[in-house]
Amino acid sequence: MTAHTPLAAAALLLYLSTASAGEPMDVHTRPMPSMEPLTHELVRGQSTRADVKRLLGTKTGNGGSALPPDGIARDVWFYQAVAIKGYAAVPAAPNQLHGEGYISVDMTQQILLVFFKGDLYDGFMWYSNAGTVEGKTH
Amino acid sequence: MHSVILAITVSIVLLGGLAGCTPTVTYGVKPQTERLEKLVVGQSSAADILLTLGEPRGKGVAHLSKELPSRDVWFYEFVKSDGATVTLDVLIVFLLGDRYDGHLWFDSVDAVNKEHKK
Repeated sequence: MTAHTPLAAAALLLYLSTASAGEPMDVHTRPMPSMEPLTHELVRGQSTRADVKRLLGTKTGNGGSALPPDGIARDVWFYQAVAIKGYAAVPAAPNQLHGEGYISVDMTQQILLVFFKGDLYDGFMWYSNAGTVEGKTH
Repeated sequence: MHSVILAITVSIVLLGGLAGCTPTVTYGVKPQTERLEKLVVGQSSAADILLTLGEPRGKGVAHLSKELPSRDVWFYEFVKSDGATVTLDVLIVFLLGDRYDGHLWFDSVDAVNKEHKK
């Protein structure tokens, strides 16, 4: 999977620079907030920024949007969790013509965007990768 | 391209390790979100976007609703890692035909923790 490869490369850097002397490490950012409030407690057009902070915790980043079709400016609160459990160099298969190997990074990335119209909660978008990220090396 | 990034990353890490320091790796160009206000929905052209925001890192398509036609997507991304934090900046620009039709951007700096595996 190559969906988040630049981040995977940065994450791999983090892993390699923090995991000393070959000791197996778990490298991670802070955990993802619970998704439960998004489907059971927060109400579009009613819940406030304070409600979101109380239920989801402090955001890790900011953003903005003007999405079609209404084009209305919305603020975005950004939540992210990245966890790297290791990596492995996978050598090229003997029958490969060009001798390409792989670096397989065992990384999970979750991203949550929470949208606000004015001070009121106006929806969210959540996505995650499937787990392992692979990159080719020559 | 992906192979180059990983190869460079690993090389830098190994060289940094040999030198006893933590290297900083960056990828892409920081999106100029402060310039979005120069673009006007339905008026600014693809050329205007190019002049205002620069060359995107990638392109795609968004179909946000069955009542709406598909939009082209231009993707901008910047990643930086210094061994202790990961900085991520993403900007997605929507085009309807040749015209600017909206955007979504977000950025963050995440601290990294480490734990020995048991």
